[in-house]
Amino acid sequence: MPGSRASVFGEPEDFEEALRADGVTALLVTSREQFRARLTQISLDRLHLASVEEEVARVALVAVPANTILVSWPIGDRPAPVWGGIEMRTGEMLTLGPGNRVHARTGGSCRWDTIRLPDKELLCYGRALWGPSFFVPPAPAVWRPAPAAGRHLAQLQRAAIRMAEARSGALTNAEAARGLEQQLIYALIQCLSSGPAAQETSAGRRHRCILARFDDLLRADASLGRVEFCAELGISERLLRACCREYLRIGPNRYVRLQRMQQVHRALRSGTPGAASVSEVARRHGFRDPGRFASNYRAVYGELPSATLRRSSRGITPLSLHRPV
Amino acid sequence: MPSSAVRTFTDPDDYAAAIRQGTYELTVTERGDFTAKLTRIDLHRLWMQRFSDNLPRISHIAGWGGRAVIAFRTEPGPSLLSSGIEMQPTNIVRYSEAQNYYRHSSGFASYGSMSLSVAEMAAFGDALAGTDLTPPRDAVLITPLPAAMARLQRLHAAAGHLAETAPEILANPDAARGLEQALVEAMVACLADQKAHSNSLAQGQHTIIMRRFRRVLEENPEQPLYIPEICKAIRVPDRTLRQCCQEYLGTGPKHYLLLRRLHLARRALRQAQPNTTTVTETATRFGFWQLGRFAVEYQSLFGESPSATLRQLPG
Repeated sequence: MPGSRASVFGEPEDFEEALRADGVTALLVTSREQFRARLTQISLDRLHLASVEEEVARVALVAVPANTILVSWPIGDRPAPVWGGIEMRTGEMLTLGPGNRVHARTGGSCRWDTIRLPDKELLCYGRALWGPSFFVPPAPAVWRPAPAAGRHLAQLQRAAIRMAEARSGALTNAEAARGLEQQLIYALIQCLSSGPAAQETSAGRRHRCILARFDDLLRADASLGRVEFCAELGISERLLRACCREYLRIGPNRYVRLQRMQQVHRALRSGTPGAASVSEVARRHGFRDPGRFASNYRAVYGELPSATLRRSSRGITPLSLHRPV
Repeated sequence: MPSSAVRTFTDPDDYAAAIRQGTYELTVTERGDFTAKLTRIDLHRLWMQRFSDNLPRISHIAGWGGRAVIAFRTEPGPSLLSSGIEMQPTNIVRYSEAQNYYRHSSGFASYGSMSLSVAEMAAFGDALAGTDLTPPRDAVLITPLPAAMARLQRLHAAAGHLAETAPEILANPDAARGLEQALVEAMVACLADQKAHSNSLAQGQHTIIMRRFRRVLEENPEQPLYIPEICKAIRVPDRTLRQCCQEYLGTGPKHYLLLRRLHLARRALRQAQPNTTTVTETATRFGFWQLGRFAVEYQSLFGESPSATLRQLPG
């Protein structure tokens, strides 16, 4: 069923949830500002479009679903997220292949568009339109489409997003959705027909995978320290630090602390039965000194953990503008 | 009963509907006030038409209804291409019986056509020149001897003139028979001339591609179509399709499909009730997402805004 959804978020958790189908699995805010994001999504038959405006620096682990290709580009000349250490300039595009796991970070306000579609569809249409040489690498790649082609795709997506925001009814018409989809596929293949401008190096791939596994470990075991991480990953501390600096722009210690703090924050916010006591929750996530934890927590979230626990309201809830996705 | 009619048109759709042979589809490709004149003369067995229209356009002709048809240009002018071959006042296209053709002009074009039933064409060819004039398998472009061609042009023009100024003469069975005999003789002389150069219009692969292209369009008469699905359906890459379309339609597939969608949108707007339909709805249904651009393109092709078309009462 074609449809669209336009939402505004005040909580990173809800934003992450809304982008889950696009592979966003863990979103960590790395600055102390109030989270703000605006997301418009359009689901067509095979294509899924998203357009995002974010205001706050964050890091997210993106795991592209199987059999799916994710294409992204910056909107206009605004900064876009840095995916797996790849900084996109105006006029460039990025593709992520099926199953790729990449950390995407932003340094503050940014704007980006994505299209998600089945890899088989893309390949099938690419071969039909361009010929047998059409190819999208399975690893992250940067593309520099002909300016006219890039503009065409961006304009079409912009027009569709604007339509979804202003007149959602247009998208529930099956014929209109098909027309949009066909035109987007054409524009997309025009962009990708030139071949990738840069592909991932083997070192880049190794570092990317190290970080993804680092994230897994972090989530799996709250008690691990820096030394254990390095031992588990089979790498030196120096390399771990270098990877974090390169892809996340923050050191491993700070990253681990923020991640755990967020886990506590979410546990407190959700008010699950196990979250009865603040110190108990903090201890479960590896914070051994309750006093220091509380002050660190306040520095990040602007309130004491006990206040979070008491607060029943969930801040700004997503503003969903009716219509189905 | 012999008959004749001369009509002028300002609407391409009406013009296309009045043309007798085949299913005629006409897409005007540039803005302007369309005017066309159609002279139609039915003698006893020979049918002829004279056409003139003033705007660049692409037409598609399908099926001849069991008749052997020839066509030629009656006046020189901007290029007029039939399946990618330039038509001139000095040459004749002999069509095959059951094929589809594209014809595109880049400006004012006037041309004429003549047809006999397939059996009669064969019989006349045999009787008058001893040659087989059954329609060829693929369309053929022939260049008759100048004298024979000039005579055919003269007679064709004279018949057209009669239809305009003295239709009662054409309605007279005896006069019609006399004219018919002269026209058939001139035509057979042109077609049967052994020294004529002939040139097959079937340019192999491209003709096949254009036929498949057409088939996809025909299977979806009221539906907007887009390049990806067409390339997928006819198994031809975009580049090749573009070449073929340039050759046969004088424009790329993207532009052609865009024009087609604009025409479909116009038809939908005309048939719609202003109080239940919006321009936005119609535009997006036919694949126009940039509404501002749609309005500009629509206005520049049809000379009125889409909302103006919608406001006009249907019919």
